[in-house]
Amino acid sequence: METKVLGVVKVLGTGCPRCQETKRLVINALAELQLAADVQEVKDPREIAKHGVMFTPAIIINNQLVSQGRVPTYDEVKKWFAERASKT
Amino acid sequence: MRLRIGALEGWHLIRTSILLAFIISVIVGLIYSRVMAYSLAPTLSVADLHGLPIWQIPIAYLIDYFSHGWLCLLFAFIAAGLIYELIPKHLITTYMRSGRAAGYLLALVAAPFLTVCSCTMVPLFAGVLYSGAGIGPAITFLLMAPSANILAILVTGDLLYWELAWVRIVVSVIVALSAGIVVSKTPWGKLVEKECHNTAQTAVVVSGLEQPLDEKLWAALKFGGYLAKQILPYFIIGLIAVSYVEAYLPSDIVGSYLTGIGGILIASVLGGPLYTPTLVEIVVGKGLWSLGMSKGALLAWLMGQPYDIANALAVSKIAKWKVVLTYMVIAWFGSVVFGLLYGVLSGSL
Repeated sequence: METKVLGVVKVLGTGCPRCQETKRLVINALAELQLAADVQEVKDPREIAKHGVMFTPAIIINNQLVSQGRVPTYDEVKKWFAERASKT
Repeated sequence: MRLRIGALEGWHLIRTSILLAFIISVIVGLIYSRVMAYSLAPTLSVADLHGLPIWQIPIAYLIDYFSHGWLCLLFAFIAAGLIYELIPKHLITTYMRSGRAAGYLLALVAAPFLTVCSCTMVPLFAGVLYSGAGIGPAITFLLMAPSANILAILVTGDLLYWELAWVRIVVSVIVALSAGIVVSKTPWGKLVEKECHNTAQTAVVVSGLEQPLDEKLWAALKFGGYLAKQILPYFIIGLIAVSYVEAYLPSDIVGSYLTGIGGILIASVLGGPLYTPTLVEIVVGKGLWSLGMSKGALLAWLMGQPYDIANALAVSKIAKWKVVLTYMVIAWFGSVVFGLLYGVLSGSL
């Protein structure tokens, strides 16, 4: 099976349990879909603010804010990833 | 295929109705219980606690509280979860950018509903600051949030009394607004503002698929449960500590130190270090109040938000220490002034 590439996935959150849960969903979804991606955690409140995000946890995929202020469901995360994945 | 979609919709419908039925029954239960003054067990008095052996005191106190308080707590956590989850967050981000006055207004209105969880506090503060609304609304937001959030207000009303809950909201609005305006006029406040102004990019928002209502409700209840898990342990420890305070602290000590002008000053300083955004300040306040603390001192005690040390530390990294000190002093001053005023007006100084 060929590996697909997703790009940059940023998980924004100050490190609270809900942000950790979101990060876990992201990593699990990437593994299940066999996607290669650069996962970055943005923890500094100033950096989070500079991304235009006020509500954490938030997920930004390739500069698109897909979710903020809630823990998404696993299916949602997989859908966002699948829609944006491209073949190498 | 068609059948499958039909089955899925049916499942969503059933789940939605079950969740709605649960939420409505809690609301109805709460109203009913308050109207009928319901309690699972007879209410204890301070005198009852005196007669108990040491290890039984906290148990009796906890049973006493939870036998009538469980419904209010359940309601408070559900309401907090629902409002946070259902509030349109994109709208708030957009309006915050639209200027200073809108920023103040939103900070006052939105703070009580958005900051039930301490981990949302700092990103929101930074978000408001960098969004272009400026340091004033950000400070207003910061001070308004812990003292007038929906959990704190509901528990204040239920555990203490409702007049105090309303007073707490009004005083929080006045103090938070004046602190915000004053800080935005200071040179160091302006400096922070200049550094942060408009450095935020506008995030490209992708409107995802609208979630079905049952998933939203379920997420809201899950968030409420998460809040309960975060807060209840501290709340229960607070109750245990207060059971001993009520049983052993002589009421003449409370009566002589926590009344009058001196009482307000002591309460405003003592309430500070004890202040946590975990409802503990309400529990301890209740203990002292039932031992004879005046209403004025009680209000000063509850307005301990400037001493929210964890938040102050985090904020000092974003803003400057001078900003933190300025708002702390204003908020402390506010708690003393309004403590005095409320004490005089309610005839309990």
